[in-house]
Amino acid sequence: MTRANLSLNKYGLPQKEILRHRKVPVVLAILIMAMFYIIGPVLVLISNKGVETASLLHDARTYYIFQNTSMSAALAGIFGIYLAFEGFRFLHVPRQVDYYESQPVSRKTRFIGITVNSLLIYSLLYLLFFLAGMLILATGGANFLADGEVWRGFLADLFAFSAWYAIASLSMMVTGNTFVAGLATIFFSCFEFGLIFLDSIFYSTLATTAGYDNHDWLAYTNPSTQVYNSNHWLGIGINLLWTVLYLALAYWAYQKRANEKAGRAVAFAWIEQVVKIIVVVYFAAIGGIIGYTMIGLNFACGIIGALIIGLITASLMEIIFKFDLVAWKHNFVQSLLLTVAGLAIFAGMVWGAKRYDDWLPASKQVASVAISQDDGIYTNYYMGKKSAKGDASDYAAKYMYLPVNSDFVNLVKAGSKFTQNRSHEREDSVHMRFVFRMKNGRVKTRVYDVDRKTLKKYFEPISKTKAYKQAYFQIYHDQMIMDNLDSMSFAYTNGKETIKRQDSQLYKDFRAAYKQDLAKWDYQQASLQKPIGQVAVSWTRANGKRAKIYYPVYSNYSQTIVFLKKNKLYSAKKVKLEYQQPLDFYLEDQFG
Amino acid sequence: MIEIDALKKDYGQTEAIKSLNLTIEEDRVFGLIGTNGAGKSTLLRMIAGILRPTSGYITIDGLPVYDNPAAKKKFCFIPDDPYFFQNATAESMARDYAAVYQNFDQERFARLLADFRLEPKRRIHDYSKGMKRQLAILLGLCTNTKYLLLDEVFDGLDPVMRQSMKSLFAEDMDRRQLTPIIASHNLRELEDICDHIGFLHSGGLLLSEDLADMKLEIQKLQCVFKDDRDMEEVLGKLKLVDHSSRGRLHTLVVRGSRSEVEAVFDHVPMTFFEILPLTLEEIFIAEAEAVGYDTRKLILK
Repeated sequence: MTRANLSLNKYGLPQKEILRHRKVPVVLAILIMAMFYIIGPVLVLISNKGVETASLLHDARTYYIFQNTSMSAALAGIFGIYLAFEGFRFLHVPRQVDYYESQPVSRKTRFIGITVNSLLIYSLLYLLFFLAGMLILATGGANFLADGEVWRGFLADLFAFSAWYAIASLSMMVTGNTFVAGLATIFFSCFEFGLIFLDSIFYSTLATTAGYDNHDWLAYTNPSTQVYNSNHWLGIGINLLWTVLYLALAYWAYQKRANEKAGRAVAFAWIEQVVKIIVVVYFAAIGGIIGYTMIGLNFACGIIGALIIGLITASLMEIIFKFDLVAWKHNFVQSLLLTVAGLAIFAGMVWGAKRYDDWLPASKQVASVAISQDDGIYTNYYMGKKSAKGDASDYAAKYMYLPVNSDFVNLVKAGSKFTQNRSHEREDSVHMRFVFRMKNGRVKTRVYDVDRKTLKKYFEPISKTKAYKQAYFQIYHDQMIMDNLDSMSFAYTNGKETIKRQDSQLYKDFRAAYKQDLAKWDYQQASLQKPIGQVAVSWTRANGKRAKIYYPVYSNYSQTIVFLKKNKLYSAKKVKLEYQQPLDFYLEDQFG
Repeated sequence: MIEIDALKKDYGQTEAIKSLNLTIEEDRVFGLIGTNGAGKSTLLRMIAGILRPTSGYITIDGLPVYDNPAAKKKFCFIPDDPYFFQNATAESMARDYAAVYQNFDQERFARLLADFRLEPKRRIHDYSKGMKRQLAILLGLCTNTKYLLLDEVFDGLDPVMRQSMKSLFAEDMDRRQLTPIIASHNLRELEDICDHIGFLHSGGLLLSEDLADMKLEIQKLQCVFKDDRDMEEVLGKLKLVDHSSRGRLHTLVVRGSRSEVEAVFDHVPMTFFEILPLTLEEIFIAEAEAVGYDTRKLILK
């Protein structure tokens, strides 16, 4: 075969030629992967020398899965960015642009050549060391070759790498300077975090009645967080999607970018404008919120904060765009207008939060309501055939359909007022979640702190209703326990002494007795009295893990006590209150 | 043949090249001359397909050049600041060039390295500036492309080396019809090598002409009149471009063929009369003024 036959233009950019100039990333990848997948498994083997195979298997598997979900996931991101920056860095250096772009190689060929090379460097080395690590562990008896979870972790890492590579490639294409490309990579991978942060501030800081749950902070647009997506395959799919999308955009940008932009901050003037608009408006809004919240919700301070942060951000961006400190004042009018836009968003958020908090349902608009408390002893809820774990609010949302009456309206009004007054002490109140199912099909949720006097007055009548109890106590929807009686374990404790049995008939008898006693339960009783003991029922869920539900037993639960005595589960010995752990209750002096 | 038609290049608000039309014929040395910032490098980079024109067209042997490997196979571009890989040697750079240019002549390259006393295994980083330029030119020559685009390549070369390089160009022009296109701000550097000159000023083409044609139509002469009263009559008959005198010795640059100029002096008794060779700078000044430019405002080195 002659050199002419090997011509680039016939067969594209030869991988061998590209690889000749990429020795550093290859060597780095080899070193780090050898550390993870050669030295790591060897250390696992050494530390498990002489122990049972099962223990080795557990340790080795934990090590491998840990690698996939933490260390090597981080490594995948770092390598993805590094290979993209290293591969396309020539676009940022005028001398290199002259050298490469005058060659008889089309941009398409070069892009594909570098991208394929980068993907191959990482994926082939990763696969090689992954298998080598498996082989090492297999010599000790731990074989994961057919372990789906291990391979799924491998794929998750691989696509996290490719997605990061694609994002960093696009960043390189739309910028003319590698430092700015780093900022662009942060922008592309973190803008969703910025929106989540804004959302979080709105519901958790500006509004008082939203009961903002801790957001999981899993951004769809951030490849690393997708490794931790609870739906593993969805995470892999999303990263694959970003890989394809960002690479397509990077290719498009490469076709469009002007080589004279090498060394400049941004390669496209319109991107410069779009980024400035987004970043300045965003940070001005954040500046407003910081000023507003820092000095006792003072709106004037918010305005000052927005102006300071917005204008500083705009000036910094102009300096970065021009690489000139004097450029801070460029386009000052535009910077001011963008800051004002950010200020308007801040003002809109403050106004929106107030409206959000002031909202009260009109009784004729609401079809039904579900109420749940975050505190109390009823924290373990399981639902469905697979015994999926939930909490009191999930359980109430599914089973509680309370009608709206005057007690409700008064409870909500009082709760809203109490919650919005930020100066109130919260210790003498209960955190309650209200899910309003509107007649138009929408669902609105509010969380109010309700003081105990209001609870006694308006909530106690509600707590006595059958509809409330049936959606508050797990025992009314316990089919998943009934279906798993063969794995059930039954225990009774008075805090000092615990008696445990494994008898499926016990639970059947217990639930009948306990349901009769629940007719006597109301919120006041639960708040004033301390249980004398507690029944714990546990069983094996569909995923193999154990589930456990606690049932407090009060002194007036005569049917339950009869059942316990009959089955020799009840300890007649009286136990002092301080030993009755871990039962939770409301102290008498806190309840009006 | 390289054809440039209505070419424009803007850098934001700045017009680097303004509606430029130019034809570069084959088998001749094309000199692209202009002051600093005239647009030479921009034009050369557009010919090399590095920069995309704002409007207009560039074709090389009928092929559009931008992002077109078929057209780019026909030339090699040597910039004013050539790029070499980190830790590269002349030998390894040759391998890189050979991977890209299918007709790269490795044997000739090795021979030329020896001729120019450039060590093939020494790190290029340790070469002097002049050696790096020599190496870049040798690499470009050995690609065996039809066109060689050279941006200020002789800057940094000593006169001996410059002549050696020029003779290499001459050899390749003779052997394989190479067409070098050389951009420079230094008129004197190019005058003994170029066949055709294109002069750029402020993004526009001032003139584009064969050097030989220009020389035929402009003459430089020195003379001493026997009777100074004849001078007025003679100067009136000549198309004078420049006139200076020191004592009775007059130096004239005049427009016209050699025979026409000699005919004017035929009947005038002279103490001394000689037609001198013209420098490119003198020709340029004459031509530029002919098209209405005040050359005194143009800064020429």
